[in-house]
Amino acid sequence: MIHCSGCSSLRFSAFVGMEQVKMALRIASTNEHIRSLLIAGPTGTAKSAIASSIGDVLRGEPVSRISPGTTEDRVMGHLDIGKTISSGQPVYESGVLARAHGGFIIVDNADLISRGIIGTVLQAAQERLLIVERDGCSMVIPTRITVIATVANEQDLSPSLIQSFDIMVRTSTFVGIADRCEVIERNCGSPSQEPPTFTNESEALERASDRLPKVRFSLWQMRNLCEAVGALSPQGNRCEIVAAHVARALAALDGRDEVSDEDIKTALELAVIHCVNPQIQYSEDRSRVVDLRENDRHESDQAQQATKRQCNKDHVRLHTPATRSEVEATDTTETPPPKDTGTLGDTIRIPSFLPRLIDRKVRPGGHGRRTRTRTDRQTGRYIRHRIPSGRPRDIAVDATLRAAAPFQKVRMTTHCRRLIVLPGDIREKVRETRTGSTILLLVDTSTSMGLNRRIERARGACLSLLKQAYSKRDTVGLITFHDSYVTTILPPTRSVERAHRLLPLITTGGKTPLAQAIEAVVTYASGLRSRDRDSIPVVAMFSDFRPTQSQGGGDPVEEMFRIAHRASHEKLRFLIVDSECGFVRLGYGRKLCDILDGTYIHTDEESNASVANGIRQILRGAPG
Amino acid sequence: MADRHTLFPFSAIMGQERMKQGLIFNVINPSIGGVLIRGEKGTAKSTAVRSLAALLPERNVIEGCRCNCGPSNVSGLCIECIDSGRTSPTTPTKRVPMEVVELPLNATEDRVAGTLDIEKALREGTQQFEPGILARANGNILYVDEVNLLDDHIVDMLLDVAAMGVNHVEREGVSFRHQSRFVLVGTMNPEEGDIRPQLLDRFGIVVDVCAQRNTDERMEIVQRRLAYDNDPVSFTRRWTGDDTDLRKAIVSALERSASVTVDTSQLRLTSEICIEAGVDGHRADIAIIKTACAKAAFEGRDHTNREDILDAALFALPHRTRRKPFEEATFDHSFLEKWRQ
Repeated sequence: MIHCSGCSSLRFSAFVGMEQVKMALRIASTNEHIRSLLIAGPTGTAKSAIASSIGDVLRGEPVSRISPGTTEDRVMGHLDIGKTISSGQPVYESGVLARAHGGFIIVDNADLISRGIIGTVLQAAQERLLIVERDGCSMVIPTRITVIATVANEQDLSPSLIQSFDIMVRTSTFVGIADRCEVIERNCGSPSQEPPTFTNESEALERASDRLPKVRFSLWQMRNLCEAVGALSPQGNRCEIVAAHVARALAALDGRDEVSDEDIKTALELAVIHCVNPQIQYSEDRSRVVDLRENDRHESDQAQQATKRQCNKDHVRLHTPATRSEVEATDTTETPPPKDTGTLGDTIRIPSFLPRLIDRKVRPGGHGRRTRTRTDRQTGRYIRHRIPSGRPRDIAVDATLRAAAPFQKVRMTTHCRRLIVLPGDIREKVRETRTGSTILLLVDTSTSMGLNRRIERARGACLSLLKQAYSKRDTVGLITFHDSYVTTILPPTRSVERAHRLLPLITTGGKTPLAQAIEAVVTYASGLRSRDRDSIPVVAMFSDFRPTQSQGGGDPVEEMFRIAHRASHEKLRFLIVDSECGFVRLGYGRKLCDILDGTYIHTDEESNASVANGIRQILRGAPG
Repeated sequence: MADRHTLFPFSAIMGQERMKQGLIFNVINPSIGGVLIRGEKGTAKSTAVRSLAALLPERNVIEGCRCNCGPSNVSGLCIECIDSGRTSPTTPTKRVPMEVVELPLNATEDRVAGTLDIEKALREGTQQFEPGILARANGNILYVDEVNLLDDHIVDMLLDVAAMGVNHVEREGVSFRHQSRFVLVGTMNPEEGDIRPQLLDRFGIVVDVCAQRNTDERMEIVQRRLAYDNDPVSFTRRWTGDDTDLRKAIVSALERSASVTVDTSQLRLTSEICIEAGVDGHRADIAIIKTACAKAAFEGRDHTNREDILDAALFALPHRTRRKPFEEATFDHSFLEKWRQ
């Protein structure tokens, strides 16, 4: 019998399953050297809930939160105008980071938070201090914090950001009926039904923290760990250090003074796997990478034998991680590049979930897009101030105070010691948003594009665009489509060189699912937009615009136009690069362009450079 | 900045010799023009720069100056020094250690350039200049972590000041000028994006770092770090000796560096290399010679040799060879081979 007792939040131990996440949270609260944790998983899998419940098991440690609405000022602190005026001297209001000192910061939906803010938070956690040089204030704030971030779709975070986290774990939806029922019962049941075990949780953590300094690594274990890390070949040397800390915490939590093989295995899963750069597997010279790994393995085998002789003990060899990477390495060589979508990027199978997402994003009808410039300019970085023309909207507190300050001697009377600010003192913030734009290249890789060197032309246009992006500091993303696959070859990046490396890997083959591709890219671009509200992404489509495959089995052309109508409600900018050629021309590209209200370019008539110029024009012309 | 005594010691960083050399050479000869350290995450880039603080020599600054004015250069004194008559050669000075001054990414323009001192203005009604990061960096090392992510308007300011060596402030009713000569040290992860070409060119030398792949090296790294994390104070104490030796070597190299000579054949070699590499301008040539001098001084020699020049070329050329935008960023070291014989 279930009594729906309202929305009482669950306690830490009450979550069904999620053992890995719980373990990660326990590790983070036991070992202070673990400073950041990323929980990735679909929505509704209790990511944020379990992160929030960490407060239950901690004693007196603050748990703060950063959500997508939190501004940089709030995170880092700002000049408090009220207190400054009443006290007559500058008073700095501390931000979320300073207040979180000694505790946890939960960053919900990390993909919706600007890279700058999340970078600052992670760095503060890592360095244990935050250097503030803003708003006329210069100070160093201690920040002994642990960051717990959640993300629904890990592909929305850049690889380098994911690798900045010490630990990464994933949650999933339960498939078993018993587990699902258990989830419902725990969420809707009355609090008294909760099992009594969780009061022990905080004691257990405390015991583990006390034990941690005693936990030792044997040389043998250390070699095991480092060899496994070497075989996985992650970025940098930081993750083996983190893995060692994780392994020690695991031993401490289990009440042991010695790290076990099992601890190391778990530590590798938690702390190393996410730092393995997917780029390695499809870098320009695939065979070389595999060779390197084989050498490594060879070397490590030798080293291992040497150690074995040294130790002369019947230790169990730690197989799993090394072997798994070996299997992966061989897998990647055997699969031919074009079909190997798993390593070439993040493949999205369209029919499964995208339509639902896009339906939700359709705006209420009648609203024209791009009709006016954004009025909300209070985002972006405060770079300087100015005397406002008309009514000030975004007051620069520090500058206003500085303007008023020299006159205080004159204005203050013996009766009133308060600071007096007159309208003429008021200064307004000038904010600058990121300089570049995001350009998404959607390239048709179906069979028809292979004919008449059309793909060459698309590639050439991409290249000239990339060359410009290089100097304009834009971010460029690359998405390809054929058959029922829409593949993110490259999530938007500023590292244009990486994009360039991947371009030659594009090969053609298969049907043309234009409708799906448009749908996917628009969903993707809208996601980018919600993260960075000041830049309107440009979607450049390279195709011959002859759709041959539909999602629902209907007429692919009709479906394409239907999707395009919907896409036109999104606040995006489009460039249609049409490479249709031959005697019979259907002119769908032109029509699509009209629906999307984009810019049309035909590759026959134009050189590669003018395609890039077309995009430049869009970037310049549209409101930012 | 954290207490310099509990920073991870410079000498305790495993390997990464070229990164360490690049930093040390710049301390010995600041006119090399700074160093940019590029590399993946977790390669001790920022650890090395921050821990450099413990190795830095002392220098003379005018007592009471808030802009770190040095006594040797009367023409470059700040307005405050001139106004208060601290211009004569007999002006009292004091010895202070060179510092690592960090420019955080979130810095605002007013804090970088300096601005009106608001507290003074409120209390006394005077318009006094409050020095910013550029004043603090004068004569010191200016460190920018993730320099490729620095905002464009801050980059513009840095470029301007780096070119002139002077910070000129005209804002909020204050007008001020002070010298700002610093060793610019930047670290970046190329995966995060490119650095602006103008800023890249400002760096005298570049070092590309990568992770230590060898199992034994990895083990040593983990063991040292665990020992440090466990007990920073005693770990640091254990390495104090090594750091002190290194510091002494730097100080003596600093004294020697002024007298290091380069003979004509090495100048010719430098030009040959730079022509072959196809560099724009002459910054590369100058950086090679200066780096070679610093290297010779560090190794206790009064003359540079052929090897110094070739080694210095590896530091000064990677970011200067003319290349198309998309060629691999890494510099082909083998091209120096033909001069090695």
